[in-house]
Amino acid sequence: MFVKQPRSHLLWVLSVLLFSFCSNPNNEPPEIGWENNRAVSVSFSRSLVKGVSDDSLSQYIQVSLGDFPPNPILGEFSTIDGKINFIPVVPFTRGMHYHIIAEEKIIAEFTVPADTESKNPNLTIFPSQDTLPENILKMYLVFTEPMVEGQSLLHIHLLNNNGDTLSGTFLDLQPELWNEKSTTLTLWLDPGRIKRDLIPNKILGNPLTKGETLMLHVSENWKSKTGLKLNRHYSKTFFVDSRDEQIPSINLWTLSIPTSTTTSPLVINFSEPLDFSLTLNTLQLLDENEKVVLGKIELTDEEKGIVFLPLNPWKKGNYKIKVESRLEDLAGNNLSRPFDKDLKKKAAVEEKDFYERAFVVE
Amino acid sequence: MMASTKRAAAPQGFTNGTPEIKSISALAFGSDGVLFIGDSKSASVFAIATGDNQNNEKGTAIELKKFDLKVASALGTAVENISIQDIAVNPVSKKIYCAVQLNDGSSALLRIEGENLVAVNLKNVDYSFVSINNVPAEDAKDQRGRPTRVSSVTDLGFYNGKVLVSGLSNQEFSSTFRSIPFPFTKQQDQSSLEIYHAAHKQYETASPIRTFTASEINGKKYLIASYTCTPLVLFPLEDLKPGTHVKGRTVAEMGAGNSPIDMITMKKNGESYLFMANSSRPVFKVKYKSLENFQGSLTTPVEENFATAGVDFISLPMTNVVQLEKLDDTKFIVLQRKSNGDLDLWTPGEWFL
Repeated sequence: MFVKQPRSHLLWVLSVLLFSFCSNPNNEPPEIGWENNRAVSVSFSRSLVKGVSDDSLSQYIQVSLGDFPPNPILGEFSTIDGKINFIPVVPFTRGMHYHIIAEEKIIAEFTVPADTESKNPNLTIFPSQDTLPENILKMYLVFTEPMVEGQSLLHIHLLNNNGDTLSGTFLDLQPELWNEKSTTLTLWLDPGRIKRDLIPNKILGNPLTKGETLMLHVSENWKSKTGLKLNRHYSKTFFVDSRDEQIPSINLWTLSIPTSTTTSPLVINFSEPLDFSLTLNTLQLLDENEKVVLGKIELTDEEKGIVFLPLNPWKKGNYKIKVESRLEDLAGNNLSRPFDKDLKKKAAVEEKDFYERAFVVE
Repeated sequence: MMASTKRAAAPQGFTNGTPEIKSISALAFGSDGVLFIGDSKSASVFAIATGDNQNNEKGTAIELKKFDLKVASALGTAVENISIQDIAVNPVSKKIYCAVQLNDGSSALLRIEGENLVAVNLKNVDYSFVSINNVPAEDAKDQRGRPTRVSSVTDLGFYNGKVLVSGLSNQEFSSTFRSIPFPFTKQQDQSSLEIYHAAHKQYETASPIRTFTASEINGKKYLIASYTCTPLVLFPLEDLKPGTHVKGRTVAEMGAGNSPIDMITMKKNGESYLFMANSSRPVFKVKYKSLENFQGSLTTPVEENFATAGVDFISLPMTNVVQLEKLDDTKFIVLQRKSNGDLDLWTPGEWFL
C-alpha cells in the first residue's frame, strides 16, 4: 500500500519522471487485455517487482491515474506465466493514462487508446410525423450504437419559434428508460403536466400548446459508450395540433388483404399514427387454428400503418389480427382506456386484454 | 483491496456462483446482510449474501467531501464518467454501500470502510434472483428485431418479509409495482399490481411509483408512495393482492416541476417522521402523526380542494440532496450537491430531526 510521506508535489513528479526515463529500458511495455472492445486488464513483467511474494503484491504495487498523491484503483492482482496481471473492478477508460507504481515509484505506465473501430452513432427520432398532438406523451430516440446513459436531458432540448429553450418539458428519470443494448431511449413528456386537473397541469399547463411550431434538438456532443460523438447534431421540427382524447379502435383500421398462395404483404392502415415501439410489439396474426402466422412487421407511412410480410404463402381461410390492449396512440390512449379517463363519462369500449379483427384470405 | 466475504450459512434457495448482474439500478438490504440489487437491464432482482452481518447498534457519522471524485479515482476514471446510482445502509452492520454506473455501461458496487472505498465482491458468492419481467413466452417466437419491453427498477425495498419493487416500462406509462415473497421461489407467486391515481374524482390515470417506503400508520401497514408526477399516496399493504386494481389516496401534492428521489422514516422521542428528498425542492419532513390524523379522510373521495390542503410538511434547509438514506434510528446520510459544486456524502446533525 502506498505510504504518504511529506514532500512537495513538484519533487514527487520530478522523481517519478526521472525514474520512468531511467528504469527498465529492456522491459516490454504493459499489455492491455481486451474483452468486448473494453480494456479489462493490464499485465506487465514480474521482473519489475523483485523481492515480493505473489501473496503480497497488492501491498506493494498499485495502479492509479496520474493523480497526486496516487489513489489506488480497486481491483485484483495475480501472477500468470511470469507476468503480473491486474483486473480493475471496472474496465479502464478509453483515452486515459495510467501509472503502475511500486514503493512510490512509477515502474511502468500505459494509455488506453481511443476507440478507432466503432462508428460515430446515427440517430432516428420517433414519432416520424411533423404534426403532433398537444398531449403527446413520449418520443423515442433510436441510435445505431450503444449510448452513454443518464445524460439525455443535457443533450436534448426543445426550442420554440424564437429559439428559446422550453424547460421542464421532459421527465427527468434516473435510471433513464433505455433498452438492454442502450440504443433506444424512451423520453416522456412530463405526464403530470398532461394529466388534466393535477397541480402541474393547472400551474404550468400542458408541456406543448396547440398552434406552436417547435424544434427538438439533439446535440452532437452525446457520446456512445466507447466515447464517440454523434455523427452530427439532429433536429426535428414539428407543428403542435389539438389534444387527442380518442382511444384508437381497430375497427377503424383499413386492410388490404392479400390472396392465397402468394407471399404478398397484408397492409394495415391505422388512420392515425400509433406508438412506434408498441406497434411492433403488440400485434399478432393468427390463423383459423389460433396458430401464430410467422412473418415480419414493418412500420409504414410515418407509423400510420404496417405491412405484415408472411414467411410462408397465405392459405385460403379465416385469419385474425390480435392486438394487446396496451397499444397506444401518440397521446398514450390505448385500445381500452384514454390516457386520462374521465370517470364521469361512460367508457367507449369494454376493457379487455386483447382486441381482435377478423379477415378472410380468398 | 477487494473486500473479503465471510461465508455464513446461505439463506434458503441460494446458490454459489457469479450472478449475471447487467446493471445496478437500486439497492436495498434485507436481514442478515442480504443485499437486494435491482437490475433494470436484466429486469431482475438479485439477493446477495454479503456476509456483512456483524451487529452494530449505532452507525458512525461520516463526512466524505467530493465523494464523486473519490469514487471516480478508485475506479480509475474521470468524474464525468460515473454516476452514483443508489446508496444503501446495511441495517445490521450500519455499513454504507454505493452503486455506481459508468458511461461505458459497466457498474460497480462499493462499500465505505472508514474513509476508504472497497469493492464488494460479486464473484463466487451465495445468491438467488427473481425475474420481474412478465414477457409472454410466445413473445420472442414470431418476429425478430422488435424493440424490447424494458422494466426499469425505480425503487426497491424490503418490508415484512417481502421485496417491494417499483418499476417503469419503456412503452406504457403504467405502474409495475411488485411485492415478492423472500426467499425467492420458483413459483411466480409475486403480486403485480395496477396502481391508479384518482385526481379530484374526475380523472383517473395509471401512474408509476418513483420512490416508496413502507410503515405502520395507526397500527396498519401502509405503502407510502411518491409518484413520478404527484407526490404522496398511501396504500394499505393488505389491499395489494395479485391481479387487483388498487387506487391510492393522495394525501399531498408537494409541488409542480418536481420529482421525489428518496423517502425514509426516522424516529425522535418516540415520534416518527417521513423525510423525502426531491429533484427541485428541499428535503421535506412530514410527521407520521399528520398522516395518522388524515386517516379518516383517506377512505372518503378526494375533495376538490384536497390537493392544496394535503398533509402539512416542513421544508428543511437542505437542498440538492440526490440520495437520502437512514443510517440508524437517529441518524441519516445525504449525498448532496453543495453550493460550491462539490458532491459530499455526510451525516446531518440530529437537530434536523
